Amino acid sequence: MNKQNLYERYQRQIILKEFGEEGQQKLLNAKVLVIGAGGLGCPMLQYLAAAGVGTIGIVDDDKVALSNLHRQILFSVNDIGKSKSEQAASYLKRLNPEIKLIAFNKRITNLNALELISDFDYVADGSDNFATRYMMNDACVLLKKPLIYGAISRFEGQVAVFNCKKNQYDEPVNYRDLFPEPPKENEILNCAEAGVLGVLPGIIGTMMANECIKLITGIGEPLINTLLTYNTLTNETYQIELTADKKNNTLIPKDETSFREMNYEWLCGPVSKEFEIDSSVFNSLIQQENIDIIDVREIDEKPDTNDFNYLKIPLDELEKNNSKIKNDIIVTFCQTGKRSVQAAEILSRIFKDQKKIYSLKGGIIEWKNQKKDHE
Amino acid sequence: MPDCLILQMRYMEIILFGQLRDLAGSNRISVGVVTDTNDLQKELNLKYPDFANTKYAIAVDKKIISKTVPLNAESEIALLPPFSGG
Repeated sequence: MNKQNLYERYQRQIILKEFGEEGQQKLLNAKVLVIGAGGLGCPMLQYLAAAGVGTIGIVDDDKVALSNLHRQILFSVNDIGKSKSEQAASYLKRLNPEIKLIAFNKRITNLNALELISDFDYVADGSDNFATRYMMNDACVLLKKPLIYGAISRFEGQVAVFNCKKNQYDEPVNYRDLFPEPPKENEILNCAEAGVLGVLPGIIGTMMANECIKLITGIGEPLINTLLTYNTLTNETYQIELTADKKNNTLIPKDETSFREMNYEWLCGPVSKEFEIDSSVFNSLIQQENIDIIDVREIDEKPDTNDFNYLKIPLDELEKNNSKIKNDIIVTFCQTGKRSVQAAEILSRIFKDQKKIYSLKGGIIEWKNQKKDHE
Repeated sequence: MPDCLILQMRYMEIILFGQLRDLAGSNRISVGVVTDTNDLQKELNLKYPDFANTKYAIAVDKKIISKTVPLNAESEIALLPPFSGG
């Protein structure tokens, strides 16, 4: 498209003197990753794409369902059953062919998050669960990426901007300065239980797009160090000042390796005891024929064992190498039993009820110790 | 009626958000004046036992607190649970 057409597309915002051609150029140069193409993601994506954000990534592994359509306004009945990220990207491409849209039709996890985020300048979280929210927060803290936060429940929404400084003396605030630790099961209702009025994510998602555009272009006062709440029933807004607290940072993984080892699903929900088996069950299982035992540690991690046959598939390669798994019973193990629970969760998402999946509790170290005790 | 006046002064108002509104059946509640946020939580748990099983942040005078802070009858207190929906 020629320069005149570009000018025409954005003319109404370029003539704002605070915004101008400079603001437009900043948007075109910006790269924003939107987590979730759901209730918050749809309006956010629509406005960011329309405004001319140059590169937009969309992460969502979900498919469009009929019950989404009352609030996820990028989709129509023809999209039901199709990938949200891909359908959203194709709609937005028609809206604005001048920008780059990248659909990531996968679930964001602590194994791929850092890699995904590092290609973008800003992250906007419109996810629908605490595990992803805490994970995105921690990832953005580690990579020092500005995070535009929004969340909803029933008739109320929250918006804030994290990991940004108002001035050079400020300590950046993150989600853990507001809610240090995730609620446990039953402490908070999830969206499916609580319900949501369709227009609410429309309002909050649009506020998030607004904050994102303000941050990119440097206009106005973004909600840095501030939580804004909005109530659709009363139209009340309430703003609260947030302060960085060093003790909350100790809850965040200290580096990228410990981030990859953190089990966010476990942190935010009931402990997945369903997968865990102890050494005695493990010993009886390894006698069976129709079983795949998988070492999910990195290739060079020790100790090895000759006591049983096993596959070596590191945790972060499990998803793409799942075709190596042939048998109906799977047992995962690692050093201490943490990564193997994550592996079991990943495998149960892939195979659903088709296979029985277990994780060796305590890991290979405890198993070896117990074996030694019996000898 | 000086006694009534004194009695009135001894309540503090708390603004509720999210599911706390449903648990209390109201957007705002009052409790007797307490000296700090620690005592406030004890008082709330007595008066509203369901609050004890709910996670929320406390804001005093529109600032999130991360440790116990003193309160008085004029303190503006808000209780905000986290939301996960998107």
